[in-house]
Amino acid sequence: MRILILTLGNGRLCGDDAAGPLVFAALHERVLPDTVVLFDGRTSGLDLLAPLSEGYDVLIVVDAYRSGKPPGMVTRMEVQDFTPAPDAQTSIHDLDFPSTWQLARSCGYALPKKIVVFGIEPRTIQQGVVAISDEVAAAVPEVTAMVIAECERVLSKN
Amino acid sequence: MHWIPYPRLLRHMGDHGGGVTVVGPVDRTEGETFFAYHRGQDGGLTVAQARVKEDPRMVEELLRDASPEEAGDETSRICGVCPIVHQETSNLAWRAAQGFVLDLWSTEVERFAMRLGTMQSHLAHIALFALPDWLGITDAFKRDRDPTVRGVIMFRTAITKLTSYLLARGIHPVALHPTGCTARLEPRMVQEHVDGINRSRTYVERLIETIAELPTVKEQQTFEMDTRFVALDGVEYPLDSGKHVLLGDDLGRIEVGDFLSLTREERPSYSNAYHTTINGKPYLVGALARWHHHHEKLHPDARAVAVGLGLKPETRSPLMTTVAQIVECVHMLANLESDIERILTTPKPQQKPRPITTTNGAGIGACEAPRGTLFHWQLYRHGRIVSARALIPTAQNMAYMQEMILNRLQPFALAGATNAELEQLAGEAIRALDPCFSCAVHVLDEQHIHTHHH
Repeated sequence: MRILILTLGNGRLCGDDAAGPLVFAALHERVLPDTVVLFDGRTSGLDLLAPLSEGYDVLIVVDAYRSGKPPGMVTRMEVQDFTPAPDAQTSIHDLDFPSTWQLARSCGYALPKKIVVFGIEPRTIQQGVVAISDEVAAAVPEVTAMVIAECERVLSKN
Repeated sequence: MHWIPYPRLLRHMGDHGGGVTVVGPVDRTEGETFFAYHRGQDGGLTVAQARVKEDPRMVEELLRDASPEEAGDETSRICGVCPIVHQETSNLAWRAAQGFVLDLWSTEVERFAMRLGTMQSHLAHIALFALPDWLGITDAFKRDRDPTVRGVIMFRTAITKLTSYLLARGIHPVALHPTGCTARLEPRMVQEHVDGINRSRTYVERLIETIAELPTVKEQQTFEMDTRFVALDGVEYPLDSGKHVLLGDDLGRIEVGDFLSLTREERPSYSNAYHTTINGKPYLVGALARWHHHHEKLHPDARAVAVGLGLKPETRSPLMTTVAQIVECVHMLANLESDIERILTTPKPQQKPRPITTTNGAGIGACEAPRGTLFHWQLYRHGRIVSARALIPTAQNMAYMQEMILNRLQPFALAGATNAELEQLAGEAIRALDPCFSCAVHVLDEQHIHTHHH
């Protein structure tokens, strides 16, 4: 059972969009099982096709996620599929993840069957903002622990 | 000059009463570029402006107080598509300032990494923009189902895997340092990735066969305009190295360090992107400029593909930039095996890259990024950057691109093309040439424009 942990978001210049990269940094300090691969996806679109083409069984995505909850709240979601918004822009700079996912499907890559998303509610996502909110910074250890627990749960069942 | 907020970009003060129409976003890249135009009584265009909405990247600000090592990391984040060349150019700036000579093994790895990064960028441009335009595909779902588009994407993925392995991380490389490369390469792993690339070569052959027959490509060859081509110059093809800049138009060549003072960057009142000129004239950097000046240095396989696709040395159609990119990909692919052999047979230095000590002074680095010549200038004091400037390819192409849009659209406008048709043509022209607008937007300390390297 191989697990891909994919952290997404602008780590430097977009405020709380750095939630994913912060969790990456925290997970990078931990010793993960051999069958777990951690990938710092940042804002890349097409480059994510490389890990998505590797036939992982489980995908864990960590990203900032707006759902109207208080900033710093973490939402765990089991996802069946990702569908791009009808008005999603094509850009070589930021092909969004659902568009990349569908592109991977079109290319015939063996995509993970189980997908879990950890979404962290941001306070501010704005280009040019370097600061990260206290709420999101405080949520990073919690999400990190949740991701590790998720991996352990998946691996213990298999 | 103040930054132009988005709503005002659409209603520029010069528009009032002028009958200027603003449509867009026309580029379909990041929804940033609006096309403003005015048609006279004969239907011809009297105004044609590319208005770029993108916010500034603050790169120069972020580099202030960074160490040379941090600068490489920061500059690599300027662009998610071309991070390798930004990092490399930043490293070159430090080496130029310090008189540092890189070991042979690191030189080989860096040069190969640059080639891979260029291929990744070119292939993304081809698959997502140029090829769908040539094929008349506007719907993203239909694009993904086209076998030629999909093939280019799958070939690109094979290149990405080797790049990720080589540089320890694909998107923002972590193995490139000012004093040397830290890549750890297992020949078996390298061969595995090369095998993956070789298995995907058929996708490139299919791409070439497909576009050789496309009437849209043949039509684009017929569009020509007066063009000043600017590219690095040296012994090798400029994607690999160059210590001089060829200025085109019989202006000769100058040293890299003198180039920034020759250029003038100005931001027009209607856009957030700078326009760059040399002696008041717009110019073009990128694959077509490299081809124009250095086609004889390309691998014979690449030159043969150029002949097959109708790309001639004297070509003056900027819309053929994508074809030049394909020719460059063939060149790099033809050299792939020998590049790897050189890396694997060159002795790797025993010691780790040495710690950085930085003396006070300034340095400039220049590389050919996929979209054209890229410059990073940095001034160091007490081991830190106190001032920096980046001259990005798209910022250099902006003024030329705006002229190109007018030249490209004018005959169609005079022949009675509808506004919708003009909008489509403007978008296609931008996507064919250089759609990296976000990189063209930055904040300059206006006082630094001409005085930075004194």
